[in-house]
Amino acid sequence: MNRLLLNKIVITLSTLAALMGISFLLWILVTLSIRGYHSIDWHIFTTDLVNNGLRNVIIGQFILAGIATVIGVPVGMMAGIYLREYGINSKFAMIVRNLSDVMMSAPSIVIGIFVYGIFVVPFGGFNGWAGVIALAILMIPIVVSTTDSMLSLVPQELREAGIALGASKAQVIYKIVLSAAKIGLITGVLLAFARVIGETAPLLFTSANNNFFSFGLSNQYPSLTVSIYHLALFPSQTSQNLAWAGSAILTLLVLFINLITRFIFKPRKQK
Amino acid sequence: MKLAIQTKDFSFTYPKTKEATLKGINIPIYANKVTALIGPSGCGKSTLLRSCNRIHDVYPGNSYDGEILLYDNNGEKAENILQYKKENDLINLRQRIGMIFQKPTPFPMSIKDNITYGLKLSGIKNKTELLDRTEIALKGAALWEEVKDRLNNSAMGLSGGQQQRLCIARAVALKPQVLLFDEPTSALDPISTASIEELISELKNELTVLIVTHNMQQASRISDYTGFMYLGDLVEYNVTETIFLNPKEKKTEDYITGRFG
Amino acid sequence: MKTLTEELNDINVAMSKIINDILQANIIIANGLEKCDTDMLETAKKSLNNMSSKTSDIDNKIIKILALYSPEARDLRLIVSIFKITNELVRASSNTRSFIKGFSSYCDELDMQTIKEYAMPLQKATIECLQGVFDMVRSDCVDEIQELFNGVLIAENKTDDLYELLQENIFKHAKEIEDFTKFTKILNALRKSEKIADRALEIANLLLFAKLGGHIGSVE
Repeated sequence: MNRLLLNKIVITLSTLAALMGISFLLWILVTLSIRGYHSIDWHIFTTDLVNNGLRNVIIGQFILAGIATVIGVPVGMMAGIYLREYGINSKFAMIVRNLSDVMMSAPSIVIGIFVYGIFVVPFGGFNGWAGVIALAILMIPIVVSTTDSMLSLVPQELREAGIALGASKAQVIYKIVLSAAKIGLITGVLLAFARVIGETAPLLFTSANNNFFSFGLSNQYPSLTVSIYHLALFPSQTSQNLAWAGSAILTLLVLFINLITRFIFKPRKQK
Repeated sequence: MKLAIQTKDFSFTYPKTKEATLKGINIPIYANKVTALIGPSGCGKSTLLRSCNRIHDVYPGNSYDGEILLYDNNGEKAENILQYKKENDLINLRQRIGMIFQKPTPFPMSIKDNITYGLKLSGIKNKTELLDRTEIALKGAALWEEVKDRLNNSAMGLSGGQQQRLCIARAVALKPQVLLFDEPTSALDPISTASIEELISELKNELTVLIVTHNMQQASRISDYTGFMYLGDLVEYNVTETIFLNPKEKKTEDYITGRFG
Repeated sequence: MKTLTEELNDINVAMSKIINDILQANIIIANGLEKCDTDMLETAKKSLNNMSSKTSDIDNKIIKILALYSPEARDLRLIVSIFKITNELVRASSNTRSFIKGFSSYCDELDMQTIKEYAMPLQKATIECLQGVFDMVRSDCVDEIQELFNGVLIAENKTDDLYELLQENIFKHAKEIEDFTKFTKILNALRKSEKIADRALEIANLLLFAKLGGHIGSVE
């Protein structure tokens, strides 16, 4: 009897704990939805920040994250390929892998300040390129890590089978291994993109913000996350509402990307 | 008797190990015959097999000693394949000596692309020739009838036995001189195993087979010659009938009668 | 390397041939009994030469099959049966040769009546047994095999009965016969025929096990 009772107690406690964790998440989503819902209308998507809209900052966020991805993913993937395919036994690879892991836990504000010192001060002011670089620096260790993991899931026999047919190492990697890891690698890229699109600290002192629509990355550049930061601090009701709207949109965006990876990519994974 | 491969005092040491895994192996592999290597786990039979196409070289740090001679199609001139250092030589070697692994390894591509992969590597570009040789290879692996209507489907959708036959077709497409089989049926069900054993018996008309197997009955069923290995030594090598009926070494007899291993 | 099926077929054919040789030799003996043709009997004896080496070949093939192919079920029953059948074949063949040897010398001595009444039916029954065995080897139908076996059993019983009657008959006329040893020798020769039938029944029993299953056991 004692054991049964203990079992029931443990089950109840763990279920309560799980519900508690989920309830906070639900609370956030519900709060965002309610507060955001009131403020979201067509106006937000068609006017810029200067006119109390969010069009330029949403597009700006995508552009910053997009260019960072274009820079970060190839670098990260090549590094991941090096680590897993070429550097298995080398000490250098081990060091690189450790450094990359450390970088993943680096505080994003520290990355922001670093880029501020290198790419903002010498160039005379906030600029979009600095923002892109900060996001890329944040992204690279993530892509390195997921590439490394996904490639490690490819069975070694597959590589040997390619070599046994007379393929060179490069041919095996690029035509066979990457193909086999394709889904995992794409998932990794999407998740890195989702992470980076929601970052604020790296952009705070690099691209800062811009009230106007712009494609010019050599000046201050608009971004959703930094806008939310500023809007939330500004004491007007309009700004507050806009901040809630922006938060809701950002949350939905990140949620959406995560759901894509979960439901479209995962079930199609190889047996 | 025509030779395909002959090892001379061949020794092999894995990286960072003091003791050699293979100790001075001398074994003939006769052309158009099936030679089986049997022995308990860790005896070195897979190591010996994998030395024949130098696939150990994917992992740096090994050391070889002695010679592995690969004869030409007439069984006359021979080259020591352990001397090859350039990547081109190794690539040519692997197109002459193919390998089938324990776990079926279809590439994540269509069935057709799996076969043409190796063909394209060897320089064949003509589409008609590629298709022809694909058909011949799949027929040679007794797979053509089952897949001829779905050549563009992914190879990952085939059953285990079919995937292994696909791997065999892929290797056979290159018209190799020797095929190395590393426990090719240990991951398959009995019916797939039987069909692959039948395939191997037919293949020896076209090429030479060296097979490592844990399953003694498999060795006794399909091989012409059998080598029994133990702790890195080739303890006994003879015609299969002799090994299984009148083995000369006590260790061989103990292993075959199930007294150890 | 041959497949298991090919090897099994080879020994089946080899055994079939030996059974046929013994059967034909016994048929020739039956003809020779009527005409007392010693040349015919000599030909029959020659056809059974080298029986030991022929059966040893089969035995060695069986050992090789056991070592290399691990046969099961039907295949296992078949080769184990044939392994025992070869012994019976050697004995049946040697009985046939003894019969010929024993009989050639005294062919003219036996009177027609005794021959017609007992010796011929005895040999004919023996031939029936051998023919039944030969047919059993080539049949695959369960009912037919059982029927053939029953036929061999009945024919073998007949040989036992006929031999006893023959023995009684000869002893009845014992006083009239001058050279009694001659007749015991003739009896001995005819006994060989009865023994051949015994062997045929043993073989039929082993074939029954091979084709229909069950356990190996003596007919008794």
